[in-house]
Amino acid sequence: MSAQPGSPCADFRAAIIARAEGDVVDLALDAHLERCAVCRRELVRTEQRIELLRKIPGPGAPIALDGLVVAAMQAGERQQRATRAVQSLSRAHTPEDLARRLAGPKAPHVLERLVREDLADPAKALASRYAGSLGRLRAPHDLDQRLRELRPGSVQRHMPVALVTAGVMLALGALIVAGILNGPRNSALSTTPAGPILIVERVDSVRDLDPLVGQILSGVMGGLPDAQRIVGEGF
Amino acid sequence: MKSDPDRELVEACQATAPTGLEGAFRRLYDQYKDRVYNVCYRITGNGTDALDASQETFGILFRKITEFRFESKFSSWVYRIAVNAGIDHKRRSSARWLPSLEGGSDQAREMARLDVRDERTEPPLTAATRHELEAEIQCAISRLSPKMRAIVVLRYVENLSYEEISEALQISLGTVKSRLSRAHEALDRELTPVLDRHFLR
Repeated sequence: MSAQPGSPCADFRAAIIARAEGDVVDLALDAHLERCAVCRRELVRTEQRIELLRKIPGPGAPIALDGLVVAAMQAGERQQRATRAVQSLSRAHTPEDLARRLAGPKAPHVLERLVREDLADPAKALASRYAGSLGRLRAPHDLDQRLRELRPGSVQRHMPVALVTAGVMLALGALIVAGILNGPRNSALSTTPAGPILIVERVDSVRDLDPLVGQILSGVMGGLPDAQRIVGEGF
Repeated sequence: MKSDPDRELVEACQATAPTGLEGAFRRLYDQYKDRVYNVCYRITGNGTDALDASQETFGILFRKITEFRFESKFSSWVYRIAVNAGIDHKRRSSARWLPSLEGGSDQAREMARLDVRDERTEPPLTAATRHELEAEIQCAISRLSPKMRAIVVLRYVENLSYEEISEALQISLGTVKSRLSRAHEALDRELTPVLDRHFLR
């Protein structure tokens, strides 16, 4: 029954493989094996071959695979975004719609006004955007009294008092400026009332100054230590 | 259709599309990474291509998992993607890495030997013999046609049943058996000297 000398019989090839893999019940094969030496030899060789094939160890995935897979996933996300974008273009009904989709999102209208303000007067634009958002402080009730007690001749003898006076004056100035700038601001950018408001507060130390006023004071005098020195020399 | 042991994890991925290697997708990845890499390694014949093919496999899984409809077992789908990725990489890099059918088997043996393992647990001679044997078997597998290679790897390396192979490769049971039979014929030619040496010692 062998197809050629030395080759197993074609009709029993699959059955021999199944037997070598562990399939034990096949009466036809058993009968054939009894009288075919070639197929008996083939069965032994197939068993050995399968044993060898099953012997090779499976290499575990290397650690580097984790990073590669993460990279592949990120690439997949980018591809999906690009696909969605292309699909969005295909849904355009008119040339104008297509052009609009290709152009992407438009800049908000407010951007043009903000840029115009920046170009016209950067300092004013900055102050109107950030200074106006500072909290309002109220002057203590006895401020007037304390100010009256400050005699003109005592300024140079009592440096802390002079420093506080300078700070208060600058704070008043800054708050007035901030209040004036705040007046004409667009209500969309501010939660403060539209009209200028003057609030006066006395502070007892340079460190207690409003942060903006502190910044202005140190900016004018080259830093707070310098401010103190200049005040000491007769500010 | 039999219940799929991976159904819960796959459905979790489908409910919340994975955004990275975490959650349910991470668990699926941990469950399959060795099997995917092993299939890719045996089909491509070298670690570099196996790594690329495994990366591609998980990239496809990540992109397509929401489209999986449980018409086959999830594992069959994973094996199908891995086999196809492995065959594609092998085809692309065959000129660079692997021998043609006409010759160059020495080169393949050298490549197979590049696989690095922890040999501290076995004597050097045993390790060398095992490496040599593994290289020869890998070389014989590498010289099969891609279709036969896939069958041999899934059947004898991954221990899949004929039905599982049929589902993974989307071919009939008869085709699985006939391809396996032809693969044995081809392997017999390649492995006869190895069998003689190994079993007549």
